[in-house]
Amino acid sequence: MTLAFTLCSINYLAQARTLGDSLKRTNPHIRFVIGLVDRLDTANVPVDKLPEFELLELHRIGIDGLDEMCEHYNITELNTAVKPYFFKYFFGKVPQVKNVIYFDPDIIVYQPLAELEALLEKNDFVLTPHLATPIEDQLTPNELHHLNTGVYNLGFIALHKSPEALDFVKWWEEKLFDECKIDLCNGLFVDQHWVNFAPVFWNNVHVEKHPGWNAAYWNLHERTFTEEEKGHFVNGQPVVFFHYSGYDPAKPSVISKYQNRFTFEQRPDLNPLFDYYRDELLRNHNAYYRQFPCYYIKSEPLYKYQRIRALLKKPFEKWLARL
Amino acid sequence: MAGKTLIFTVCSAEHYPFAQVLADSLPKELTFKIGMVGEVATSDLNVVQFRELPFEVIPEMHQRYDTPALVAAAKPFFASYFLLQNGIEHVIYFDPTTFVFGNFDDILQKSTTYDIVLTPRLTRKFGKSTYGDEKMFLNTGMYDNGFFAVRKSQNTFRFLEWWQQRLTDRAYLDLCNGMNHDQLWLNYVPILFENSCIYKNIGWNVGLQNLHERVLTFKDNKWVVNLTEPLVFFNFKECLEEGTEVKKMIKDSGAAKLLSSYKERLKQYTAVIPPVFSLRKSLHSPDSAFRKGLKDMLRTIVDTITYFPIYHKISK
Repeated sequence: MTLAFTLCSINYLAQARTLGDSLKRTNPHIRFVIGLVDRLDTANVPVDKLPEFELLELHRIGIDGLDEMCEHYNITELNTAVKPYFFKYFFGKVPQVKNVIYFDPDIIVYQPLAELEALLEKNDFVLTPHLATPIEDQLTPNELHHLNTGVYNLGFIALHKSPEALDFVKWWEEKLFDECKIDLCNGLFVDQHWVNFAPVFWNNVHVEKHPGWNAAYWNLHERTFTEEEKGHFVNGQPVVFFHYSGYDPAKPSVISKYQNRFTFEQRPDLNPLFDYYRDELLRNHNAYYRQFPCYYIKSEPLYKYQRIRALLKKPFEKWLARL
Repeated sequence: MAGKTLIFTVCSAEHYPFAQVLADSLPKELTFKIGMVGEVATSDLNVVQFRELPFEVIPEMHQRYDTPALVAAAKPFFASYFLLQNGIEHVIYFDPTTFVFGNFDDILQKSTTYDIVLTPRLTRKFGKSTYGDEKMFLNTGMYDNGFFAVRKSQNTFRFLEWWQQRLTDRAYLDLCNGMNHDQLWLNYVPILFENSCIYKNIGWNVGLQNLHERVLTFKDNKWVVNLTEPLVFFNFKECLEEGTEVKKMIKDSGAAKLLSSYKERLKQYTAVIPPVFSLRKSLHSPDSAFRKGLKDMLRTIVDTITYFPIYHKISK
């Protein structure tokens, strides 16, 4: 049995529902679970706004030291840090589970995942790289960025239940308990950079370079899209899943807030994919869900008297810089 | 096969003695060349000057980089220069601080099977050791720049040109911006280039960065790693640093004798062992205890001012 899951807080439920709808259409045999990094009881989401998909709240999977994790992580860090804990839960607690696939909530699956399931018969890990061909310019993001943050994109990872994969999940959990931070100078970029180790420490790792897998703003330079009668194609092959990272339906003219290489004017081939996504998010009540604050994230203190603080700090900072 | 294979290293003039020791460890029937960055007084015909290679960007690289960065950035230029020489099919690079102990056949065999052969800097998860912790490898590179083998092919030239272009202006040591000389770029090799091999044999490319997972023993006149694999080559680069931590790592892994006999060999060519760039050393700041204490104190003062509790709480 293959299980797919995503992770989000209530504010991203429109995305998670859109992903779930797409899986239901294309892969009805795959069981889909939304791992919710939030609490429904305190948020009071009305019943008619609850997704029809299985919801598994974070506090139900039994993480030792969850409070401690919430204490030192922000919403992005926490949402990524709990990924291996959910993998462990699914492998350990769901009977008959053979494969577990993680998708970021802002992904749409357009095709059956038969090839992925076949790959998982022979491999313990399936990953997708950010790029399959070089980028020659130095716009954002370029090759250097992925050297700092990880060469594989962790919006997608699929594992086959096996001693190797379980060993990896255990190691990943230990890392992410307290080192799921963004600290580029020290080699940290949430859950993603750690996975550079997967092919080094473990075997049976498959890296899939099909242009229709995990197509996203970071690899648009090598992928051209077309819409045909049979669906969306990229470089002549079917789009299997597209990752709409950094896209906000409230700013429909921006491909992604994390890139500056392309605009929709330069890339009209992207319009059909993004028009469809925007409609799906609006249909799934994006604006409604966005207003919910995450239960796990403590309100942040806003420190007053910033100017006086800056003035007082100045001599000490100058001294530090000279050392 | 031997006639078609060329082995090379790249070094500064100061490090020429290392290259001479490396040459002594190689099979005599193989061609060996020394890529030289800077002027050296020698009549050795195997020395090839970097500034004499036919690449337009070399003068600007000389202007741009310090010596460790320039030596690192020169590697793919030398590699394609040598690969284009008549009759050469395979080119193998070793750091000058390498010594080859084992049978060369395995290396030749791998270099004829794949377009690009690299070694990982370590092979097993370990958490934390005296060398550093796992995250230190993430922004310095998964694959080691002390060794690579390439086979003549279009794919290989694509790789070498790609590497050259990047090292022309992005070979600094600047971890916050994704650069660690030539090494961090190698993370892309298995992803962007076909027919590459990450060879995990623990007898290959033994060095300070993986001593925590490798124990060396001398058995039946041969060095063996973890009692199973014959030692093929050892890179002494970071082992040459003086200091109790490094000494302890070497002693614990059983490599002390190996290092002292390597140093003996060096004495044939130089009275004083020249200092070598050590990544580990450059990451572990050599601050004195006083300086460190002063820095910590200043940081505490700055933090106290930043977070002095006059605030109100907001929800995002």
